[in-house]
Amino acid sequence: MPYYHILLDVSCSFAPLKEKPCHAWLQAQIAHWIEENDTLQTNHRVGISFFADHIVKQLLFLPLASLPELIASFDEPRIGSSVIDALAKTLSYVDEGMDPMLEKKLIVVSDFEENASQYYDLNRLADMLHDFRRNRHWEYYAVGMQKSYADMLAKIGFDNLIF
Amino acid sequence: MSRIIIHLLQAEDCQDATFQDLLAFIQSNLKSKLIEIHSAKLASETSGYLQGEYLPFESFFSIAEAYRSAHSIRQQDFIFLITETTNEANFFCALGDGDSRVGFVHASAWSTCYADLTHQASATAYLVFSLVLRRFQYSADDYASYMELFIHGKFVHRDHKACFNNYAIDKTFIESQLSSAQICKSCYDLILAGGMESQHLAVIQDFFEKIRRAVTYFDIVDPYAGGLVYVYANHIEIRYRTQNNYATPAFSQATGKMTNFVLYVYLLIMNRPVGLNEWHVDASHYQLMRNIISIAQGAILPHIPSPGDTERFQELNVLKNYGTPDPKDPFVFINTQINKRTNDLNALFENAFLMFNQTDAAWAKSIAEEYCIRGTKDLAVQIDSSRIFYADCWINAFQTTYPHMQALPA
Repeated sequence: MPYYHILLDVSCSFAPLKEKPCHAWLQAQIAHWIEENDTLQTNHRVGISFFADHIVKQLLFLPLASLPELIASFDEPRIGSSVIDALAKTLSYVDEGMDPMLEKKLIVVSDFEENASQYYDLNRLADMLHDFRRNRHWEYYAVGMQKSYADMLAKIGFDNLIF
Repeated sequence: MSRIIIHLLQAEDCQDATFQDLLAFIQSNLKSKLIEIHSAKLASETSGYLQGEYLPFESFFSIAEAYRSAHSIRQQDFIFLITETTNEANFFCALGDGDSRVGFVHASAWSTCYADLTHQASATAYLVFSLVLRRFQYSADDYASYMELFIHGKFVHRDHKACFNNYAIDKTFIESQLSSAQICKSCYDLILAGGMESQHLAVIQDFFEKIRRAVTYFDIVDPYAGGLVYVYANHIEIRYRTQNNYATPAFSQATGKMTNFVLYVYLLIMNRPVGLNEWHVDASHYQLMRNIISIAQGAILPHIPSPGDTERFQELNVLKNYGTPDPKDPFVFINTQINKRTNDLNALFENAFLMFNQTDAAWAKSIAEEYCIRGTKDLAVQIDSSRIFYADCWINAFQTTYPHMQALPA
Protein backbone atom coordinates (compact mmCIF):
# COMPACT_ATOMS: atom_id res chain seq x y z
CA MET A 1 0.00 0.00 0.00
CA PRO A 2 1.55 3.36 -1.01
CA TYR A 3 2.43 6.21 1.30
CA TYR A 4 0.71 9.55 0.58
CA HIS A 5 2.21 12.86 1.53
CA ILE A 6 0.26 16.11 1.27
CA LEU A 7 2.16 19.37 0.75
CA LEU A 8 -0.28 22.13 1.68
CA ASP A 9 0.16 25.81 0.82
CA VAL A 10 -0.79 28.09 3.75
CA SER A 11 0.53 31.31 2.22
CA CYS A 12 -1.48 34.54 1.74
CA SER A 13 -1.89 33.99 -1.99
CA PHE A 14 -3.72 30.71 -1.38
CA ALA A 15 -5.87 31.95 1.50
CA PRO A 16 -8.51 31.42 2.65
CA LEU A 17 -8.14 27.72 1.91
CA LYS A 18 -11.59 26.94 3.27
CA GLU A 19 -13.21 28.81 0.39
CA LYS A 20 -11.24 27.09 -2.34
CA PRO A 21 -12.77 24.20 -4.31
CA CYS A 22 -9.64 22.20 -3.65
CA HIS A 23 -10.46 22.34 0.07
CA ALA A 24 -13.62 20.35 -0.66
CA TRP A 25 -11.49 17.95 -2.65
CA LEU A 26 -9.04 17.59 0.24
CA GLN A 27 -11.86 16.90 2.71
CA ALA A 28 -13.40 14.35 0.33
CA GLN A 29 -10.02 12.75 -0.25
CA ILE A 30 -9.38 12.29 3.45
CA ALA A 31 -12.89 10.88 3.94
CA HIS A 32 -12.23 8.56 1.00
CA TRP A 33 -9.09 7.17 2.63
CA ILE A 34 -10.79 6.79 5.98
CA GLU A 35 -13.73 4.97 4.44
CA GLU A 36 -11.48 2.69 2.41
CA ASN A 37 -9.50 1.84 5.50
CA ASP A 38 -12.72 1.08 7.36
CA THR A 39 -14.71 -0.78 4.73
CA LEU A 40 -12.09 -2.30 2.46
CA GLN A 41 -9.53 -3.02 5.15
CA THR A 42 -6.94 -1.00 3.24
CA ASN A 43 -4.04 0.61 5.02
CA HIS A 44 -3.65 4.07 3.55
CA ARG A 45 -0.78 5.87 5.32
CA VAL A 46 -0.56 9.63 5.12
CA GLY A 47 1.71 12.50 6.14
CA ILE A 48 1.48 16.26 5.67
CA SER A 49 3.71 19.31 5.30
CA PHE A 50 2.59 22.95 5.55
CA PHE A 51 4.53 25.68 3.79
CA ALA A 52 4.48 29.41 3.11
CA ASP A 53 7.84 31.21 2.70
CA HIS A 54 9.38 28.18 4.40
CA ILE A 55 8.22 24.79 5.63
CA VAL A 56 6.15 25.44 8.71
CA LYS A 57 5.41 21.92 9.86
CA GLN A 58 6.08 18.38 8.68
CA LEU A 59 4.44 15.21 10.04
CA LEU A 60 4.71 11.64 8.79
CA PHE A 61 2.38 8.68 9.35
CA LEU A 62 -0.50 10.59 10.88
CA PRO A 63 -3.77 9.11 12.06
CA LEU A 64 -6.12 9.93 9.19
CA ALA A 65 -8.88 11.13 11.48
CA SER A 66 -6.64 13.88 12.89
CA LEU A 67 -5.91 15.43 9.51
CA PRO A 68 -9.02 17.66 9.09
CA GLU A 69 -8.46 19.27 12.47
CA LEU A 70 -4.78 19.76 11.80
CA ILE A 71 -5.52 21.45 8.47
CA ALA A 72 -8.15 23.67 10.08
CA SER A 73 -5.62 24.83 12.67
CA PHE A 74 -3.61 26.61 9.95
CA ASP A 75 -6.18 29.30 9.33
CA GLU A 76 -3.78 32.27 9.66
CA PRO A 77 -2.36 33.14 6.24
CA ARG A 78 1.40 33.61 6.13
CA ILE A 79 3.43 35.94 3.95
CA GLY A 80 5.50 34.56 1.10
CA SER A 81 5.36 31.41 -0.92
CA SER A 82 8.36 29.19 -1.64
CA VAL A 83 6.67 26.35 -3.45
CA ILE A 84 9.82 25.26 -5.30
CA ASP A 85 11.92 25.01 -2.15
CA ALA A 86 9.05 23.39 -0.24
CA LEU A 87 8.58 20.73 -2.90
CA ALA A 88 12.25 19.84 -3.09
CA LYS A 89 12.84 19.86 0.65
CA THR A 90 9.70 17.86 1.42
CA LEU A 91 10.61 15.30 -1.18
CA SER A 92 14.09 14.72 0.20
CA TYR A 93 12.93 14.82 3.83
CA VAL A 94 10.13 12.31 3.38
CA ASP A 95 12.14 10.05 1.12
CA GLU A 96 15.05 9.83 3.56
CA GLY A 97 13.22 7.63 5.99
CA MET A 98 11.36 5.48 3.43
CA ASP A 99 12.09 2.24 1.67
CA PRO A 100 13.14 3.24 -1.87
CA MET A 101 10.93 0.43 -3.25
CA LEU A 102 7.82 1.67 -1.46
CA GLU A 103 5.33 3.44 -3.70
CA LYS A 104 5.08 7.08 -2.63
CA LYS A 105 2.72 9.78 -3.80
CA LEU A 106 3.23 13.48 -3.24
CA ILE A 107 0.05 15.55 -3.42
CA VAL A 108 0.74 19.28 -3.70
CA VAL A 109 -2.23 21.47 -2.82
CA SER A 110 -1.23 24.97 -3.89
CA ASP A 111 -1.79 27.75 -6.41
CA PHE A 112 1.90 27.30 -7.34
CA GLU A 113 2.57 31.04 -7.00
CA GLU A 114 6.24 31.46 -6.21
CA ASN A 115 8.10 34.43 -4.64
CA ALA A 116 10.34 33.21 -1.87
CA SER A 117 12.45 30.19 -2.87
CA GLN A 118 16.16 30.65 -2.21
CA TYR A 119 17.81 27.28 -2.64
CA TYR A 120 16.25 25.55 -5.65
CA ASP A 121 15.21 26.73 -9.09
CA LEU A 122 12.73 25.19 -11.51
CA ASN A 123 15.35 23.23 -13.48
CA ARG A 124 16.89 21.67 -10.41
CA LEU A 125 13.44 20.81 -9.09
CA ALA A 126 12.47 19.18 -12.39
CA ASP A 127 15.66 17.08 -12.34
CA MET A 128 14.92 16.03 -8.79
CA LEU A 129 11.31 15.10 -9.53
CA HIS A 130 12.33 13.00 -12.52
CA ASP A 131 15.13 11.32 -10.60
CA PHE A 132 12.91 10.46 -7.62
CA ARG A 133 10.19 9.15 -9.85
CA ARG A 134 12.55 6.95 -11.82
CA ASN A 135 14.67 5.64 -8.95
CA ARG A 136 12.62 5.96 -5.80
CA HIS A 137 9.03 5.25 -6.84
CA TRP A 138 7.54 8.69 -6.39
CA GLU A 139 4.46 9.92 -8.21
CA TYR A 140 3.22 13.54 -8.15
CA TYR A 141 -0.23 15.11 -8.01
CA ALA A 142 -1.07 18.82 -8.26
CA VAL A 143 -4.34 20.25 -6.96
CA GLY A 144 -5.57 23.85 -6.81
CA MET A 145 -3.52 25.55 -9.54
CA GLN A 146 -4.85 27.59 -12.44
CA LYS A 147 -5.21 25.70 -15.69
CA SER A 148 -2.65 27.97 -17.32
CA TYR A 149 0.00 26.29 -15.14
CA ALA A 150 -0.76 22.85 -16.54
CA ASP A 151 1.94 22.85 -19.22
CA MET A 152 4.63 24.03 -16.87
CA LEU A 153 3.72 21.45 -14.24
CA ALA A 154 3.59 18.66 -16.79
CA LYS A 155 7.00 19.68 -18.04
CA ILE A 156 8.64 19.48 -14.64
CA GLY A 157 7.13 16.06 -13.94
CA PHE A 158 3.56 16.29 -12.63
CA ASP A 159 1.62 13.54 -14.38
CA ASN A 160 -1.59 14.02 -12.44
CA LEU A 161 -3.24 17.41 -12.48
CA ILE A 162 -6.51 17.54 -10.60
CA PHE A 163 -8.96 20.31 -11.60
CA MET B 1 -56.41 9.71 -47.11
CA SER B 2 -57.75 6.39 -48.37
CA ARG B 3 -55.86 3.21 -47.79
CA ILE B 4 -54.69 0.77 -50.42
CA ILE B 5 -56.08 -2.61 -49.44
CA ILE B 6 -54.44 -5.73 -50.74
CA HIS B 7 -55.89 -9.21 -50.28
CA LEU B 8 -53.36 -12.00 -50.61
CA LEU B 9 -54.89 -15.41 -51.29
CA GLN B 10 -52.97 -18.59 -50.69
CA ALA B 11 -53.86 -20.97 -53.47
CA GLU B 12 -54.25 -24.63 -52.61
CA ASP B 13 -51.02 -25.45 -54.44
CA CYS B 14 -49.03 -22.86 -52.49
CA GLN B 15 -47.09 -24.29 -49.57
CA ASP B 16 -47.90 -22.90 -46.13
CA ALA B 17 -44.26 -22.04 -45.53
CA THR B 18 -44.05 -20.02 -48.73
CA PHE B 19 -47.18 -18.04 -47.94
CA GLN B 20 -46.40 -17.52 -44.27
CA ASP B 21 -42.88 -16.33 -45.10
CA LEU B 22 -44.36 -13.83 -47.52
CA LEU B 23 -46.82 -12.51 -44.94
CA ALA B 24 -44.18 -12.34 -42.25
CA PHE B 25 -41.82 -10.45 -44.53
CA ILE B 26 -44.47 -7.92 -45.51
CA GLN B 27 -45.76 -7.46 -41.98
CA SER B 28 -42.31 -6.90 -40.54
CA ASN B 29 -41.19 -4.49 -43.22
CA LEU B 30 -44.29 -2.60 -44.28
CA LYS B 31 -44.82 -0.24 -41.38
CA SER B 32 -47.62 1.98 -42.57
CA LYS B 33 -51.32 2.32 -42.02
CA LEU B 34 -51.71 3.58 -45.57
CA ILE B 35 -51.44 0.09 -46.99
CA GLU B 36 -53.47 -2.70 -45.47
CA ILE B 37 -52.78 -6.37 -46.07
CA HIS B 38 -55.42 -9.06 -45.68
CA SER B 39 -54.71 -12.72 -46.17
CA ALA B 40 -56.74 -15.88 -46.63
CA LYS B 41 -56.03 -19.48 -47.35
CA LEU B 42 -58.19 -20.84 -50.15
CA ALA B 43 -59.12 -24.46 -50.26
CA SER B 44 -62.61 -25.21 -51.48
CA GLU B 45 -62.62 -22.23 -53.83
CA THR B 46 -59.54 -23.42 -55.66
CA SER B 47 -60.29 -27.10 -55.58
CA GLY B 48 -60.37 -28.38 -59.12
CA TYR B 49 -59.41 -25.07 -60.71
CA LEU B 50 -55.64 -25.37 -60.66
CA GLN B 51 -55.12 -28.77 -62.15
CA GLY B 52 -52.04 -29.39 -64.26
CA GLU B 53 -49.38 -26.96 -65.42
CA TYR B 54 -49.10 -23.95 -67.71
CA LEU B 55 -52.65 -22.91 -67.00
CA PRO B 56 -54.23 -19.92 -68.78
CA PHE B 57 -54.14 -16.61 -66.91
CA GLU B 58 -57.90 -16.71 -66.65
CA SER B 59 -57.72 -19.75 -64.33
CA PHE B 60 -55.97 -17.61 -61.74
CA PHE B 61 -57.94 -14.44 -62.28
CA SER B 62 -61.26 -16.24 -61.98
CA ILE B 63 -60.36 -17.55 -58.53
CA ALA B 64 -59.54 -14.04 -57.36
CA GLU B 65 -62.70 -12.61 -58.89
CA ALA B 66 -64.78 -15.35 -57.27
CA TYR B 67 -63.24 -14.41 -53.92
CA ARG B 68 -64.12 -10.76 -54.52
CA SER B 69 -67.74 -11.63 -55.18
CA ALA B 70 -68.03 -14.08 -52.33
CA HIS B 71 -66.68 -11.57 -49.82
CA SER B 72 -68.11 -8.40 -51.33
CA ILE B 73 -64.72 -6.81 -51.73
CA ARG B 74 -64.67 -3.40 -53.36
CA GLN B 75 -63.48 -3.08 -56.95
CA GLN B 76 -60.68 -0.69 -55.97
CA ASP B 77 -59.10 -3.26 -53.64
CA PHE B 78 -56.40 -5.51 -54.97
CA ILE B 79 -56.71 -9.30 -54.83
CA PHE B 80 -53.66 -11.36 -55.68
CA LEU B 81 -53.50 -15.12 -55.81
CA ILE B 82 -50.20 -16.52 -54.57
CA THR B 83 -49.66 -19.75 -56.47
CA GLU B 84 -46.92 -22.21 -57.29
CA THR B 85 -48.61 -23.48 -60.43
CA THR B 86 -47.04 -22.41 -63.72
CA ASN B 87 -49.01 -20.28 -66.16
CA GLU B 88 -49.32 -20.42 -69.92
CA ALA B 89 -46.73 -17.70 -70.55
CA ASN B 90 -44.49 -18.62 -67.63
CA PHE B 91 -44.91 -15.08 -66.28
CA PHE B 92 -43.70 -14.19 -62.79
CA CYS B 93 -46.95 -12.38 -62.20
CA ALA B 94 -49.81 -10.71 -64.06
CA LEU B 95 -52.73 -8.34 -63.67
CA GLY B 96 -56.22 -9.11 -64.88
CA ASP B 97 -57.40 -7.74 -68.19
CA GLY B 98 -58.53 -4.16 -68.62
CA ASP B 99 -58.66 -2.15 -65.42
CA SER B 100 -59.02 -5.21 -63.22
CA ARG B 101 -57.34 -5.20 -59.84
CA VAL B 102 -56.94 -8.93 -59.51
CA GLY B 103 -53.77 -10.76 -60.34
CA PHE B 104 -51.50 -13.63 -59.50
CA VAL B 105 -47.91 -14.08 -58.42
CA HIS B 106 -45.94 -17.22 -59.15
CA ALA B 107 -44.15 -17.88 -55.87
CA SER B 108 -41.99 -20.88 -56.68
CA ALA B 109 -38.90 -21.69 -58.72
CA TRP B 110 -36.78 -19.09 -56.97
CA SER B 111 -34.57 -21.78 -55.53
CA THR B 112 -33.66 -23.12 -58.97
CA CYS B 113 -33.34 -19.90 -60.93
CA TYR B 114 -31.90 -17.69 -58.20
CA ALA B 115 -30.13 -20.24 -56.04
CA ASP B 116 -28.32 -17.82 -53.77
CA LEU B 117 -31.45 -15.83 -53.00
CA THR B 118 -31.66 -16.51 -49.29
CA HIS B 119 -34.90 -14.67 -48.72
CA GLN B 120 -37.37 -15.87 -51.33
CA ALA B 121 -40.30 -14.11 -49.71
CA SER B 122 -38.69 -10.76 -50.53
CA ALA B 123 -38.84 -11.60 -54.25
CA THR B 124 -42.50 -12.60 -54.08
CA ALA B 125 -43.32 -9.45 -52.09
CA TYR B 126 -41.48 -7.39 -54.70
CA LEU B 127 -43.71 -8.85 -57.42
CA VAL B 128 -46.88 -8.18 -55.40
CA PHE B 129 -46.08 -4.50 -55.02
CA SER B 130 -44.79 -4.22 -58.59
CA LEU B 131 -48.27 -5.23 -59.71
CA VAL B 132 -49.82 -2.58 -57.50
CA LEU B 133 -47.58 0.12 -58.98
CA ARG B 134 -48.08 -1.10 -62.52
CA ARG B 135 -51.83 -0.89 -62.13
CA PHE B 136 -51.46 2.88 -61.89
CA GLN B 137 -49.35 3.08 -65.04
CA TYR B 138 -51.91 2.02 -67.63
CA SER B 139 -55.63 1.57 -68.18
CA ALA B 140 -57.79 -0.58 -70.41
CA ASP B 141 -57.69 2.19 -73.01
CA ASP B 142 -53.90 1.84 -73.23
CA TYR B 143 -53.52 -1.92 -73.15
CA ALA B 144 -56.35 -4.41 -73.10
CA SER B 145 -54.42 -7.14 -71.34
CA TYR B 146 -51.27 -7.79 -69.37
CA MET B 147 -49.91 -9.77 -72.31
CA GLU B 148 -50.37 -6.76 -74.57
CA LEU B 149 -48.62 -4.61 -72.05
CA PHE B 150 -45.76 -7.08 -71.93
CA ILE B 151 -45.31 -6.92 -75.68
CA HIS B 152 -46.05 -3.27 -76.43
CA GLY B 153 -45.87 -1.41 -73.13
CA LYS B 154 -44.09 1.93 -73.55
CA PHE B 155 -43.00 2.07 -69.95
CA VAL B 156 -41.54 -1.42 -70.05
CA HIS B 157 -37.81 -0.79 -70.23
CA ARG B 158 -36.10 -2.99 -72.77
CA ASP B 159 -32.68 -1.43 -72.25
CA HIS B 160 -31.80 -2.92 -68.85
CA LYS B 161 -32.77 0.12 -66.86
CA ALA B 162 -32.58 -0.14 -63.07
CA CYS B 163 -36.35 -0.06 -62.54
CA PHE B 164 -39.04 -2.48 -61.46
CA ASN B 165 -40.43 -2.23 -65.01
CA ASN B 166 -37.26 -3.57 -66.58
CA TYR B 167 -38.09 -6.20 -69.20
CA ALA B 168 -37.19 -9.57 -67.70
CA ILE B 169 -38.29 -12.74 -69.40
CA ASP B 170 -36.46 -15.15 -67.13
CA LYS B 171 -36.62 -15.36 -63.37
CA THR B 172 -32.84 -15.50 -63.26
CA PHE B 173 -32.87 -11.88 -64.52
CA ILE B 174 -34.81 -10.72 -61.51
CA GLU B 175 -31.63 -10.71 -59.42
CA SER B 176 -30.44 -7.32 -60.62
CA GLN B 177 -33.91 -5.83 -60.10
CA LEU B 178 -34.13 -7.09 -56.54
CA SER B 179 -30.70 -5.79 -55.69
CA SER B 180 -31.61 -2.32 -56.96
CA ALA B 181 -35.39 -2.31 -56.29
CA GLN B 182 -35.69 1.07 -57.88
CA ILE B 183 -38.52 3.06 -59.40
CA CYS B 184 -37.12 5.17 -62.22
CA LYS B 185 -38.13 8.80 -62.60
CA SER B 186 -40.34 8.31 -65.65
CA CYS B 187 -42.21 5.41 -64.03
CA TYR B 188 -42.46 7.39 -60.78
CA ASP B 189 -44.09 10.29 -62.61
CA LEU B 190 -46.38 7.97 -64.55
CA ILE B 191 -47.57 6.23 -61.38
CA LEU B 192 -48.44 9.59 -59.80
CA ALA B 193 -50.12 10.72 -62.99
CA GLY B 194 -52.12 7.48 -62.90
CA GLY B 195 -53.67 8.50 -59.60
CA MET B 196 -51.56 6.97 -56.86
CA GLU B 197 -51.10 9.27 -53.88
CA SER B 198 -47.47 10.29 -53.37
CA GLN B 199 -47.70 9.13 -49.74
CA HIS B 200 -48.64 5.62 -50.85
CA LEU B 201 -45.83 5.65 -53.35
CA ALA B 202 -43.39 6.74 -50.66
CA VAL B 203 -44.45 3.79 -48.50
CA ILE B 204 -43.86 1.36 -51.36
CA GLN B 205 -40.52 2.96 -52.17
CA ASP B 206 -39.47 2.50 -48.58
CA PHE B 207 -40.66 -1.10 -48.71
CA PHE B 208 -38.61 -1.68 -51.87
CA GLU B 209 -35.57 -0.35 -50.05
CA LYS B 210 -36.15 -2.92 -47.34
CA ILE B 211 -36.39 -5.62 -49.97
CA ARG B 212 -33.12 -4.43 -51.42
CA ARG B 213 -31.50 -4.62 -47.99
CA ALA B 214 -33.00 -8.04 -47.34
CA VAL B 215 -31.61 -9.34 -50.61
CA THR B 216 -28.21 -7.72 -50.48
CA TYR B 217 -27.51 -7.81 -46.76
CA PHE B 218 -29.43 -10.83 -45.67
CA ASP B 219 -26.50 -13.05 -44.88
CA ILE B 220 -23.98 -10.36 -44.18
CA VAL B 221 -23.28 -9.90 -40.48
CA ASP B 222 -23.20 -6.28 -39.38
CA PRO B 223 -19.51 -5.59 -38.67
CA TYR B 224 -20.48 -3.63 -35.57
CA ALA B 225 -22.37 -6.54 -34.03
CA GLY B 226 -20.63 -8.85 -31.59
CA GLY B 227 -18.08 -6.35 -30.32
CA LEU B 228 -15.76 -7.11 -27.44
CA VAL B 229 -16.24 -5.31 -24.14
CA TYR B 230 -13.00 -3.97 -22.67
CA VAL B 231 -13.42 -2.87 -19.07
CA TYR B 232 -10.69 -0.43 -18.07
CA ALA B 233 -10.21 1.12 -14.64
CA ASN B 234 -12.75 3.90 -15.17
CA HIS B 235 -14.26 3.47 -18.60
CA ILE B 236 -15.57 0.85 -21.01
CA GLU B 237 -14.80 0.41 -24.68
CA ILE B 238 -16.53 -1.73 -27.31
CA ARG B 239 -13.82 -3.06 -29.61
CA TYR B 240 -13.72 -5.20 -32.73
CA ARG B 241 -11.30 -7.95 -33.61
CA THR B 242 -11.09 -7.13 -37.29
CA GLN B 243 -11.32 -3.38 -37.21
CA ASN B 244 -9.15 -0.75 -35.73
CA ASN B 245 -12.02 1.17 -34.16
CA TYR B 246 -13.97 1.24 -30.96
CA ALA B 247 -16.92 2.90 -29.26
CA THR B 248 -16.65 4.40 -25.80
CA PRO B 249 -19.91 4.86 -23.86
CA ALA B 250 -19.67 8.12 -21.91
CA PHE B 251 -19.76 6.75 -18.40
CA SER B 252 -19.03 9.56 -16.00
CA GLN B 253 -15.68 9.52 -14.31
CA ALA B 254 -16.61 12.42 -12.07
CA THR B 255 -16.61 12.01 -8.34
CA GLY B 256 -20.09 11.38 -7.05
CA LYS B 257 -21.48 10.63 -10.49
CA MET B 258 -20.26 7.13 -11.10
CA THR B 259 -23.55 5.36 -10.60
CA ASN B 260 -23.86 4.22 -14.20
CA PHE B 261 -20.35 2.87 -14.42
CA VAL B 262 -20.56 1.12 -11.06
CA LEU B 263 -23.92 -0.47 -11.87
CA TYR B 264 -22.75 -1.69 -15.26
CA VAL B 265 -19.43 -3.14 -14.10
CA TYR B 266 -21.22 -4.75 -11.16
CA LEU B 267 -23.61 -6.55 -13.54
CA LEU B 268 -20.76 -7.60 -15.82
CA ILE B 269 -18.85 -9.06 -12.90
CA MET B 270 -21.94 -10.80 -11.49
CA ASN B 271 -22.47 -12.44 -14.90
CA ARG B 272 -26.05 -13.43 -14.06
CA PRO B 273 -29.45 -11.81 -13.58
CA VAL B 274 -29.46 -10.06 -10.22
CA GLY B 275 -32.73 -9.48 -8.40
CA LEU B 276 -33.11 -6.14 -6.66
CA ASN B 277 -34.41 -7.95 -3.61
CA GLU B 278 -30.97 -9.59 -3.32
CA TRP B 279 -29.54 -6.14 -2.63
CA HIS B 280 -31.92 -5.80 0.24
CA VAL B 281 -31.07 -9.05 1.96
CA ASP B 282 -27.40 -9.45 1.09
CA ALA B 283 -24.99 -6.62 1.93
CA SER B 284 -22.19 -8.26 -0.06
CA HIS B 285 -23.65 -6.67 -3.20
CA TYR B 286 -22.93 -3.20 -1.81
CA GLN B 287 -19.52 -4.33 -0.71
CA LEU B 288 -18.83 -5.39 -4.28
CA MET B 289 -20.08 -2.05 -5.60
CA ARG B 290 -17.99 -0.24 -3.01
CA ASN B 291 -14.94 -2.16 -4.20
CA ILE B 292 -15.78 -1.26 -7.78
CA ILE B 293 -15.92 2.44 -6.89
CA SER B 294 -12.66 2.16 -5.06
CA ILE B 295 -10.93 0.69 -8.10
CA ALA B 296 -12.64 3.00 -10.60
CA GLN B 297 -11.77 6.15 -8.68
CA GLY B 298 -8.42 4.99 -7.39
CA ALA B 299 -7.06 5.95 -4.00
CA ILE B 300 -6.75 9.57 -5.10
CA LEU B 301 -9.93 11.27 -6.28
CA PRO B 302 -9.49 12.34 -9.90
CA HIS B 303 -11.66 15.50 -9.86
CA ILE B 304 -12.42 18.48 -7.66
CA PRO B 305 -16.11 18.11 -6.77
CA SER B 306 -18.50 20.50 -8.48
CA PRO B 307 -20.64 22.73 -6.25
CA GLY B 308 -23.66 20.46 -6.93
CA ASP B 309 -21.91 17.27 -5.82
CA THR B 310 -23.29 16.54 -2.40
CA GLU B 311 -21.65 13.29 -1.49
CA ARG B 312 -18.81 11.19 -2.80
CA PHE B 313 -20.60 7.89 -2.64
CA GLN B 314 -23.96 9.16 -3.77
CA GLU B 315 -24.07 6.33 -6.28
CA LEU B 316 -24.25 3.74 -3.53
CA ASN B 317 -27.15 5.55 -1.88
CA VAL B 318 -28.91 5.77 -5.21
CA LEU B 319 -28.50 2.07 -5.77
CA LYS B 320 -29.48 1.20 -2.23
CA ASN B 321 -32.83 2.88 -2.77
CA TYR B 322 -33.54 0.68 -5.75
CA GLY B 323 -33.07 -2.44 -3.73
CA THR B 324 -35.12 -1.39 -0.72
CA PRO B 325 -38.67 -2.74 -0.65
CA ASP B 326 -41.45 -0.43 0.45
CA PRO B 327 -42.22 -1.31 4.11
CA LYS B 328 -45.94 -1.04 3.35
CA ASP B 329 -45.76 -3.37 0.38
CA PRO B 330 -42.76 -5.71 0.13
CA PHE B 331 -43.46 -6.35 -3.53
CA VAL B 332 -42.90 -2.72 -4.43
CA PHE B 333 -39.51 -1.02 -4.27
CA ILE B 334 -39.23 2.42 -2.70
CA ASN B 335 -37.61 3.94 -5.73
CA THR B 336 -39.29 2.80 -8.89
CA GLN B 337 -36.93 4.80 -11.05
CA ILE B 338 -34.58 1.92 -11.81
CA ASN B 339 -36.17 1.76 -15.21
CA LYS B 340 -35.19 5.34 -15.90
CA ARG B 341 -31.64 4.71 -14.74
CA THR B 342 -31.18 1.66 -16.91
CA ASN B 343 -32.72 3.54 -19.85
CA ASP B 344 -30.29 6.41 -19.30
CA LEU B 345 -27.43 3.99 -19.07
CA ASN B 346 -28.53 2.09 -22.17
CA ALA B 347 -28.77 5.38 -24.05
CA LEU B 348 -25.05 5.86 -23.44
CA PHE B 349 -24.40 2.80 -25.59
CA GLU B 350 -26.72 4.07 -28.32
CA ASN B 351 -24.91 7.40 -28.36
CA ALA B 352 -21.58 5.63 -28.53
CA PHE B 353 -22.62 3.79 -31.69
CA LEU B 354 -24.08 6.92 -33.25
CA MET B 355 -20.53 8.11 -33.80
CA PHE B 356 -20.23 5.43 -36.49
CA ASN B 357 -23.39 6.50 -38.27
CA GLN B 358 -24.94 9.70 -37.02
CA THR B 359 -27.90 9.56 -39.37
CA ASP B 360 -29.17 6.13 -38.39
CA ALA B 361 -30.42 6.22 -34.81
CA ALA B 362 -32.42 3.02 -35.35
CA TRP B 363 -29.29 1.15 -36.35
CA ALA B 364 -27.37 2.51 -33.35
CA LYS B 365 -30.18 1.40 -31.08
CA SER B 366 -30.32 -2.08 -32.54
CA ILE B 367 -26.54 -2.54 -32.28
CA ALA B 368 -26.49 -1.15 -28.75
CA GLU B 369 -29.20 -3.54 -27.61
CA GLU B 370 -26.87 -6.43 -26.96
CA TYR B 371 -24.95 -4.32 -24.42
CA CYS B 372 -28.02 -2.96 -22.67
CA ILE B 373 -29.22 -3.80 -19.17
CA ARG B 374 -32.39 -5.89 -19.31
CA GLY B 375 -35.14 -6.16 -16.76
CA THR B 376 -36.56 -3.94 -14.08
CA LYS B 377 -36.45 -6.04 -10.91
CA ASP B 378 -34.06 -8.68 -12.21
CA LEU B 379 -31.23 -6.87 -13.91
CA ALA B 380 -28.84 -8.52 -16.34
CA VAL B 381 -26.39 -7.75 -19.10
CA GLN B 382 -26.67 -10.63 -21.51
CA ILE B 383 -23.25 -10.55 -23.11
CA ASP B 384 -21.35 -13.80 -23.23
CA SER B 385 -18.54 -13.54 -20.70
CA SER B 386 -16.06 -14.76 -23.33
CA ARG B 387 -16.49 -11.36 -25.02
CA ILE B 388 -15.69 -9.35 -21.90
CA PHE B 389 -12.13 -8.47 -20.95
CA TYR B 390 -11.00 -6.75 -17.77
CA ALA B 391 -7.98 -4.58 -17.02
CA ASP B 392 -5.50 -5.88 -14.47
CA CYS B 393 -6.97 -3.80 -11.65
CA TRP B 394 -10.26 -5.74 -11.97
CA ILE B 395 -8.60 -9.10 -12.46
CA ASN B 396 -6.41 -8.65 -9.39
CA ALA B 397 -9.34 -7.65 -7.25
CA PHE B 398 -12.06 -10.05 -8.34
CA GLN B 399 -10.90 -12.96 -10.48
CA THR B 400 -10.45 -15.29 -7.51
CA THR B 401 -14.11 -14.85 -6.58
CA TYR B 402 -15.40 -14.58 -10.16
CA PRO B 403 -13.32 -16.99 -12.25
CA HIS B 404 -15.20 -16.21 -15.47
CA MET B 405 -13.31 -12.92 -15.69
CA GLN B 406 -10.61 -12.81 -18.31
CA ALA B 407 -7.74 -10.36 -18.66
CA LEU B 408 -7.32 -7.93 -21.53
CA PRO B 409 -5.41 -9.49 -24.42
CA ALA B 410 -1.76 -8.51 -24.54
